[in-house]
Amino acid sequence: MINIQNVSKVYRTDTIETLALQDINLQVAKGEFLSIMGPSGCGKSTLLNIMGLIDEPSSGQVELDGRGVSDYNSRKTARFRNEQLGFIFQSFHLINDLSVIDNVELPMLYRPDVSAKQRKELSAEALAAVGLANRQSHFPSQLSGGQRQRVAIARAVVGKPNIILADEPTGNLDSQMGDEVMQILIDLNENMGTTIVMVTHDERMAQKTHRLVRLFDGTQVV
Amino acid sequence: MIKHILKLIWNRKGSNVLLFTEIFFCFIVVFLVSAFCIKNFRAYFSPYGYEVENLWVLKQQATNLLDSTDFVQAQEMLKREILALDGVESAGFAGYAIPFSGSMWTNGGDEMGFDFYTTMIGGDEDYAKTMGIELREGRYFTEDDYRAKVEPIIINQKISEDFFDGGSMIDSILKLGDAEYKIVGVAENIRYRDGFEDEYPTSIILTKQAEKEAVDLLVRVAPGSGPELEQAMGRVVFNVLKTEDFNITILQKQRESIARDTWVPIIIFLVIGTFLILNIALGLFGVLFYTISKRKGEIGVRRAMGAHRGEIIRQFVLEIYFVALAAMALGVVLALQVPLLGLIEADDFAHSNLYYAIGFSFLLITLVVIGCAYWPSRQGANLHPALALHEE
Repeated sequence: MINIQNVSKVYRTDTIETLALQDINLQVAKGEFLSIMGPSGCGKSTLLNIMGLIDEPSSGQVELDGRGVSDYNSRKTARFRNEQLGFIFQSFHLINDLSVIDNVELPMLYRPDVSAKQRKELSAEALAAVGLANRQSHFPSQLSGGQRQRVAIARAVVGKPNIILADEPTGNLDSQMGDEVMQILIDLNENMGTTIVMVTHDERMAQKTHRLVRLFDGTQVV
Repeated sequence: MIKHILKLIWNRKGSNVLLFTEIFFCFIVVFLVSAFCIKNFRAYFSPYGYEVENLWVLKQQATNLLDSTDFVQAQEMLKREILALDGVESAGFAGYAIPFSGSMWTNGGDEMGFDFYTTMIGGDEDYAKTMGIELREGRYFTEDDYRAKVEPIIINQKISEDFFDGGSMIDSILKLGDAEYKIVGVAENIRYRDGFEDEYPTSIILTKQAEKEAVDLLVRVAPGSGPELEQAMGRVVFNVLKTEDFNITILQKQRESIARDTWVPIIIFLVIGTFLILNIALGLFGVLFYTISKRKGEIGVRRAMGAHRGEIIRQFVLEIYFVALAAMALGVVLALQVPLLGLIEADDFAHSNLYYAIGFSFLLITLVVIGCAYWPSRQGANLHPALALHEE
């Protein structure tokens, strides 16, 4: 499903060169729930961003769903992200000026073949799946952290992607809310067969996934 | 996507209201400046009702010193000798007010049962032909008209339309004070104040040479005539009138000279308008640059969700343009009240200037807003998604 081969990432400025990832090799099977752990600054989010095609490796190959994506142009990459990938972020990244349902339908806006009516139906379904059917017209500022993250999950799954990339989805939540969010992800993985890659600092959450990969200073240690 | 953008605009109404207000006032100012400039430009470049080019005016005072008989003879001889010069095509005496001289004579009254007014021009039987005044109907003055029982008059189309519903006026009687005139011709509208004025009612009457009503000689010269002809005309004046106290004015230059008084405020308004637009454009650019830079996180999210660069640019440009459109719509509604409610006294031509000004203001502000929105939007869209998400 996801095949990362010899991926390295170097951030360069005029004076400094920072090695964020070095020769990472990682395969994630279809339907697998993988967690990535490591200390801050070890390159976890960079690796996740490379898998999500929102960052490019300095060297190495990335294959998603059996397709090499290195030669994709910007438009094709955007389309691939839209159709195949779902993102969940630690700080939710909801648009505060849009209602919950409008936030959820965001990925569907970039699918010209989906009508407004279908968008609304799919978004309502996704919200119902995360238990927020009655919060459609609320704004993010009116929700708790856990509810916001559930909205973000609904937004990630509304387009029925094959892969969900979650960057510390429970990082900003208390343990109870974190558990709730984690349970939603587990259900998604088990019931829908969605492949999930999750970056986390929380050992307890990582233990709930199928496999754990550890990074240290940009290198894969386990 | 349009509905999505409209929702965003509505939900951000607090921050959009300032942009809305700025664009609204910008529209009003641009409308006022452009209405003033368009009105003047259109008037200046509209036909004057006669040929300004190659028309000279010979002014002298010597004949005024003569008695009536000598005056008429001297005038006739002067005209004859001038006409005999190579390069002179026609000549006619003008009285009361010559074009672009800065003087006008207006006459009016209610003798016909309604308030009537007209500016008056006087001339001999060759005046209208020499000026190149085009007739819509009727005829020019002839020598027989000097002996007519009722004095002849040529009116312009404006009189016919404004006071007599545009029907045929030939042989109708026009009463002005104690005098009665018989209409022998209807001319195109004539403008001779400074070229920027609207069309106005104008009448041409036949001057009585014996009463020294017309001294200035209008001379139609061949294209390309210059100082040589001027000197030749000077020699004629000296030979006939024994005076060097005369001057020759080229009407085209006189027009340019008198128009300068109006060009100055036009240029000042244009400069102020341009600075204003520039300031507004820079302000708008700054505000949009700041606003978009504050929305980097949103850009990152949208990119992650599958928006490509073009969609990000389109979204931001449309967002700003829709706010501008709403502000301009309010401006257009208000601006339209001026011609629709007749808030200024003007004819259809003048009202059409207001419509042009509305269109021009709309187009200019659209270009400024889209131009100012495009660059910051493009900068935002070019942000790397990972960086945009990180920067929130």
